[in-house]
Amino acid sequence: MAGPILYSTNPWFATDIALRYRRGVHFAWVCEYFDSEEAPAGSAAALIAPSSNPRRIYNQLREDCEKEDKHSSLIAGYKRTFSKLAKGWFGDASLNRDQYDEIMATVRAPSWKIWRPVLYVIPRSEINPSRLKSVKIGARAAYGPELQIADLQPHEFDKIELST
Amino acid sequence: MIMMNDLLERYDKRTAAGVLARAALLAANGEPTGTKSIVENEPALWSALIEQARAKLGFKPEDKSPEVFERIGSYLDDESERLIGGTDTTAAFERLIRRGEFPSDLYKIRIIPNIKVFFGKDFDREKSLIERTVRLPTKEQHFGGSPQNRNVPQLVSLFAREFKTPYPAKNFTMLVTGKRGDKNILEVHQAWRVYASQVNMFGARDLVELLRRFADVYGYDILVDGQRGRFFLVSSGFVPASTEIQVQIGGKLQSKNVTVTRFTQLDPDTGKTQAALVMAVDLDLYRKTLEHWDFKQIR
Repeated sequence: MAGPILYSTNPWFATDIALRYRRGVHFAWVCEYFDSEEAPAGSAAALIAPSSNPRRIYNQLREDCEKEDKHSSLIAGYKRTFSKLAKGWFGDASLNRDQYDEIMATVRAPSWKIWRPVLYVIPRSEINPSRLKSVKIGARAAYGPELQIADLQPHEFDKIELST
Repeated sequence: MIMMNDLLERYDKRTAAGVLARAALLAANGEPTGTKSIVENEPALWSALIEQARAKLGFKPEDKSPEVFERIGSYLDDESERLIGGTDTTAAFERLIRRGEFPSDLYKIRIIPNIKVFFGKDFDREKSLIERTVRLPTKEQHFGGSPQNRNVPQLVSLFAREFKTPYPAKNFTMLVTGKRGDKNILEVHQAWRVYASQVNMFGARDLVELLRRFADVYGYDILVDGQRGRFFLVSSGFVPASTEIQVQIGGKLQSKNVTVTRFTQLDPDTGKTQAALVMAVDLDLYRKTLEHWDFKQIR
């Protein structure tokens, strides 16, 4: 049964960029479980890879930021992705040169704060099923289902930062 | 010299950089998420670019390991950046600072001497709390970047963060205000611990409102722009660093000289000095609060 809530963990920088440079359009990998390890045994969700589990990502990212882990593979991966995204957006003219420079300068700056985790809590009833894209198995971290929403609007979800 | 990839030579540099970046995303992430194709048959072009990069880097066609795709992604990203050119980081940061969008943990924090004098030997402890508040606030509010709007402070930021002790009643919110604009320096002018037992924080819609409520409790009535009050968001004219007020001492009304905290700023049209976030705090009363509610263990 489809869960009523979808969860997505992202660095704060992702939502900052969406709001400042992408007219509020958020891109999100989403999961029906905050903690897919709690999914019923034998269900497809139980096969979601730990690296795609929102709770695990949240905890790992928070720990990496708090401890200012310079070797954090998660933060390094986000930096690489946003570097590529900025070039793609500049290339399709949806960013101007100043905006491109601002994103690249920030990505390369030694800030920890911008990578802290934010949990998107998305009521599924707000999302037309046609907007929920199932990720192809080859692009998933494991067999378990992974979903994407490419055009999430700010009014369609809550952003939560969990306290320690 | 930039060697334009033969697969991309029909496109201008900017378009080609975008195609390379999307191919880089496809290689590294499995799909070019969050971007859109803008040239004809772009997916086929991505595949060709990835295979070309694979050959250039010396990877075997059958090697499909994530590490290989990550390397290919990085290579294509570098190629894209070569076409776009370098980033003007200094100018980018200046714009972010002006708009109040600069990551606050990148500021160099400078605290005005008055705060150091007030805390004396305990200054280092308070300084650490101030720095933690600015670097990782739970709330922040920024003014500035629009000198035409003289009804708001200019280049001023407010930060708040909750600090906990083993005793919930001794938990507090640190409220810090600072001035931006001198490169990446944040000059901290005010840093107040706000205790829920002393200041009603419930429903404060923003940090200026929290500062106003703090001033309601700890502020003296002062005269600014001909009006009496405890907190002024902006003044239309100059506000001196100290002012004389009348206070009840031992049942008698006596004059007292009090320090006024404020941010000075220039009116862009007249060149006259104005002030923002103006208040005169009763530091004796504030010190009593700290002495009563402070606790060594703060996290």
